[in-house]
Amino acid sequence: MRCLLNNRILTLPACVLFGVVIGCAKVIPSGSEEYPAQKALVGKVKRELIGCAGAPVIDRAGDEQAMMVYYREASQLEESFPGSKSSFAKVHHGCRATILLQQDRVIDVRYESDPSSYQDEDHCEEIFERCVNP
Amino acid sequence: MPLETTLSGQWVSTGLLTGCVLVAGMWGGGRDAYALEKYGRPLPEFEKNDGDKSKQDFDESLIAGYFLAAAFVSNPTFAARPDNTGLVGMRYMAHLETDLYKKYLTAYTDQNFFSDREKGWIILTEWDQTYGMTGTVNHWSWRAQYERDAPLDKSGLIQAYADGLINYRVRSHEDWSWWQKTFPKNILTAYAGLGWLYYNQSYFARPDNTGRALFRYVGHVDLNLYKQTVVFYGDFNMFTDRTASNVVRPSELDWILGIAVRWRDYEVSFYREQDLPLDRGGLIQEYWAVQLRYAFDIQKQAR
Repeated sequence: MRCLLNNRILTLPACVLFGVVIGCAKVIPSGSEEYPAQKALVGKVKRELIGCAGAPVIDRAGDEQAMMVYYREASQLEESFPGSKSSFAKVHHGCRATILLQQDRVIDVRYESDPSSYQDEDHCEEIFERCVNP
Repeated sequence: MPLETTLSGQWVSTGLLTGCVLVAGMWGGGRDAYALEKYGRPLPEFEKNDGDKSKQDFDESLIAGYFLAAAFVSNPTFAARPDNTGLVGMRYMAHLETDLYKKYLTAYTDQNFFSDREKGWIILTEWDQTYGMTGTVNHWSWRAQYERDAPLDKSGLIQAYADGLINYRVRSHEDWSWWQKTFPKNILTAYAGLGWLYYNQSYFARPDNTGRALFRYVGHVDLNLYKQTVVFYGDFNMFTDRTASNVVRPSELDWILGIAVRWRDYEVSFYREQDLPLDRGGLIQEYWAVQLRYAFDIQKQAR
């Protein structure tokens, strides 16, 4: 009886919360989304980019074009669950941002999750947080 | 009788949920499960020449982990020692891990400490140590660990075991295109697995410290409600009893439901846990807790 009561108490707020959040979520067509930093970075010069995002993990210069690569691993908050019966390991993942520059200005920003199937490009946005909101 | 029916119902529904996750994941894994290419215009030839290097593993973590402190704001029955005496007031935990070979082989340890609210909340009364290895290959993950739960403020019963566990993961935006279309912003990740306590010195199979655990069935669900900053989660862990007539029938169910709010390296969560026997009546251990977690990642070298 007590179990039944507990379950009812838990189920109701969980359903309401789920419904409210899902119901209010903005639906954006998949695949066409451009993140704020992707837009904001285009046109910036390399010095500005390094100033707000730090040094990249790869910095390749070319005659006409240059490429910089940034990487951000997801926090342990996402990668491990602290259950009372020991922790529970989840998938290690992160996001790689590739920046293409032409004549020292950013012309393209590309996000790729790692592993590629694990779509979580928000971590790339974290890299450039200070570039969008200085 | 109503209690028995309820317990059986919980067991059946939990089992069905586990089965659904496993079957749905395997069935849906190969269909319409393509990665999104967000703003995915191909980069110029430049990248092709440097392709191998740009795809290398950039995770330079030396040691990563988290510390947590949880206050059991309501705790009528959750015990503060392995011998089921006392009532937990606070929980402190440190989790440390290091990748030995990328994500395929990771070593980790958990150090859990509990205090007894009946002894003033401060004095630590239980220390649970876990040492293990884990790894991930595509949808599958594995782990092998040793755990030892011992009293701290006095001598007494020690519970210890070693187990192996295999998990299968389903992620909505990888495996379920219908979910992705319906809830593009709300990623659901679920895990289900089976474990075997191949060494069990004294790890019980029920919350009332009876039986000896043999198998464990686990499941975990995360529902991302808002940009990985608000996450609803559920977790269950079942044990079977090696001394029972049916060694695959669950004898204990531990479930957790909670909601977590994250900001940078911090997380505050509010959750409920209940550990209950499934094959007979007996002690139910339960509590409500508020938890603060801080994550860190020490890099091999400063960039």
